Amino acid sequence: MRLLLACGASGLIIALAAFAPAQQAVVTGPEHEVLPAISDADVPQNPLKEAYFGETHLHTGVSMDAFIGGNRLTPDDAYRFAQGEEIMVNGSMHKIKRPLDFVAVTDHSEFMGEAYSLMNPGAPGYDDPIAKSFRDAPDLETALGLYGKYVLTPLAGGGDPHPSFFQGQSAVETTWRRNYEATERNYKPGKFTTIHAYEWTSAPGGGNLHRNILFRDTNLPKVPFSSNEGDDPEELWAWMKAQRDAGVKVFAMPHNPNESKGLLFTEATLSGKPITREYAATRAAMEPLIEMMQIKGNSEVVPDFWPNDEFADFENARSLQDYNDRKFMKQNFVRYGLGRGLKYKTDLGINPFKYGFVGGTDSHNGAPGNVEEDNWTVGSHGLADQTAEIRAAAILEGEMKVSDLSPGAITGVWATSNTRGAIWDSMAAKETFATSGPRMKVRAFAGQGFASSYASYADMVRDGYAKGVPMGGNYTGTRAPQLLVWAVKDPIGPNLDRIQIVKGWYENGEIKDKVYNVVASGNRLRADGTVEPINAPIDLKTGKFNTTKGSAELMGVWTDPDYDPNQNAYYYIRVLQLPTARWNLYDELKFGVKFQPDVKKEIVERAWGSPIWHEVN
Amino acid sequence: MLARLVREPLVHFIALGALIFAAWYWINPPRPPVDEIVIDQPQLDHLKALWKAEWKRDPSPDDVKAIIDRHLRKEIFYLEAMRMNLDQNDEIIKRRLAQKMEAVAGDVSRLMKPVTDDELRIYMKRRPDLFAQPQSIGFRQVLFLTSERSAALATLAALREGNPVPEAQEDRMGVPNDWGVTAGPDIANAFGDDFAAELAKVPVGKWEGPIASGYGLHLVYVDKREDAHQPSFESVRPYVQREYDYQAQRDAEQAAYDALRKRYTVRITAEGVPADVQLALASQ
Repeated sequence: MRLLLACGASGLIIALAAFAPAQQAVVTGPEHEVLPAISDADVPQNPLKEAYFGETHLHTGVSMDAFIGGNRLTPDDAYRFAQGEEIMVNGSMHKIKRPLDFVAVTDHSEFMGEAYSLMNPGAPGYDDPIAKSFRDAPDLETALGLYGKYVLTPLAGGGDPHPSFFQGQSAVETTWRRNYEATERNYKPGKFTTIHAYEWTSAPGGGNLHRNILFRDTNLPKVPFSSNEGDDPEELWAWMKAQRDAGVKVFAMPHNPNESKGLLFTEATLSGKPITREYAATRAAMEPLIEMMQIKGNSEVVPDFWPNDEFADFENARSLQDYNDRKFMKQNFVRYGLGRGLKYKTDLGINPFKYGFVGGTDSHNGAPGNVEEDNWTVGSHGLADQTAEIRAAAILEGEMKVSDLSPGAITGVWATSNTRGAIWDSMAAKETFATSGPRMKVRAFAGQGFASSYASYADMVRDGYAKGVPMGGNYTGTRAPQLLVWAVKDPIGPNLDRIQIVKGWYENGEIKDKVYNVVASGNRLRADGTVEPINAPIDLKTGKFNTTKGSAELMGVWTDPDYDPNQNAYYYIRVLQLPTARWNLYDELKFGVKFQPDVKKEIVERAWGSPIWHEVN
Repeated sequence: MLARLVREPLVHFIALGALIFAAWYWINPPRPPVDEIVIDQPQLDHLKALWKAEWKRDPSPDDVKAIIDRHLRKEIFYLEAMRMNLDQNDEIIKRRLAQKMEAVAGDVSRLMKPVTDDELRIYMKRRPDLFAQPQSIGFRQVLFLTSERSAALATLAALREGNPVPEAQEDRMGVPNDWGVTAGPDIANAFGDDFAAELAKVPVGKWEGPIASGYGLHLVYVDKREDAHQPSFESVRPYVQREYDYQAQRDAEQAAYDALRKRYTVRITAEGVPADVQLALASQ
């Protein structure tokens, strides 16, 4: 009876939807209401693939911490912002200069759900007397009385019959469902893709083990798995496995290895057991990607442990070390993780850390893709970094100095169309790259027999697929791999400086890596592999970048000079653009504030292409 | 002896202590050393159902033990916290409850007035900015590096004579040659604002250029230009409904607050609040 009553109330929203004249066919999500049909099949496919740019890590007011921080934006607002609409963000009207192609809103699943609302599944019709009583209520007070009578009282009743559901669980379902509906509502196949997602937020002992969880389609779990149910990644994977067995397509992506206290690229399971082949297989199957960079820093490398990488000093967020005992250690960086994965591959036969790259913001302001250095006027974490005055001096409580924050990164995905299926599939296949914000595009293929130049772009890409594997793949040849690398600039950014290849390998019990300069603009690549510096500083009075030096496009073929068929190895490309101004310089120029003199004013923004592996089997 | 005892301070102390102790027990009778938490069949069925929803199978006996352990741990800390009034003046609990109330009020408020088609039409008339279709252009482009101006001019002449796009210029830099009818803002996103502004001026049906973008120099041929226009209600009705719902939700939240706010008067007895603020609060 109580269930019936509650369902009566919950049917109202469906009644509302039914009130609108039906258009076209309808699709039905799992236990969700009817929605207009949208067809991915109508979108043309490009077999050579196109790079789509998106956000894979974003919080709205649905995330408890963001809400407490003052964020009242909904997933709807976030999707609108992503499409270029001006939205009230953190107290100011704000918009990004260019819309994104896709977004995954990743609200925390912990404490998701504000109230048992009226929008639960199970639907009597429009003529239901309770539905009617709400419509006829003369004022809010009367309507709230009806809510109490028809929803809360039955829920709170206890006794016999027992309520068939409890508020907590139902509230999570309600909120998850609302995020679902917003994600469906804003999906425009071919134009703007929304991805069902959430964040699993486990941080045992302050070590960040968070994962963003992305789903391929509308086959979704009833509720997301949160760290309240299990804070060990193995529990998360077990849950994901149960979902996959039930037909749900899902993967996980860790982020902020730089805050992981060594727990991410680990020597033992969280419960203290040795890493086994089974663990490695599970992890590799569940986690194709890792977030390279976000607001709280770049996790590729730091100069402390990679002194020979001359571009390692980039958005390292060094003041992270002042909080939570998150001291820098080599084990907290992506390049270490890739190498440690090779060692596991050698020892166990499976690489548990076979990660491709994504970039995100982790903005708690509900503002996806808000990564433009010259447009970062509203901050990222509510009041903590809201204005230039605050940013010039403040601490992001419990985390780091605000001046060490970056606007964050974005993800590029090579996909056959801008649809959920195509984007998710390419992410699962790791044909992705991350950039520190700019929309440069990068590709790499590993194979044999590439030409040093091609008659056209299409010829190059066709040859890449025909004779090699793209980023995220396994090179399976027996001779030294050739890498065909290509990059094009952001049309509103500066030209490119160079393309590098980072090779990592495991040799005689040691994890090693080396950075190779492969192509540089203007014939600056010397015979010894070094590059003549480009000397294209920014204008400190305006923040403008140099528009005459560098190349709009770079392309080259590189053959591994030290190939050993018996060594496990990875290769990933890093593309550097000419220097640009950091956000704090624009704060100084626009708002007259002063940052500490040690805060960098100029940065070399970059892109990282997902690795290609050579595996010894 | 007795008299001496009566005067003894230690005896005073003990007697007084006993009295206070007795009074304390009288006012706060000791609670039984053990409270009871009952897990009845419906409760356990519920916990198991939640578990099954997560794991897609029935829990084993070990799982049931873990389910109950976890439930008990949460319940006991919760009950003890409530006993100690730890919920009082907790900012997170206050915000959490405020958030719940806001959600409920917003929901309820929205349920009260379903929108009609006539209202949607009025809404569309009132907000033409939301539904106007921008100028769109169908065009082709051929890209050269900034340093290749003379090659671009030679190709321009060849294209005007009807020659095809040279192979090296096919989708150069990964930028497609053929752009079907594309909305102005999308052109600006792909090529930058300056290029979009220049392209808008190019006449239909003729190879023109080169015009510059961040990539380099473009020869362009405009096939078709569609002016900005206001679509018919019928053609965009679902979109109007979506916009309306979005706005209605935001309005509903504010309306809910306004309605509830009417139940309260606010009186500020603290010092240091400006007079105009006090006045504004009082007049609401």
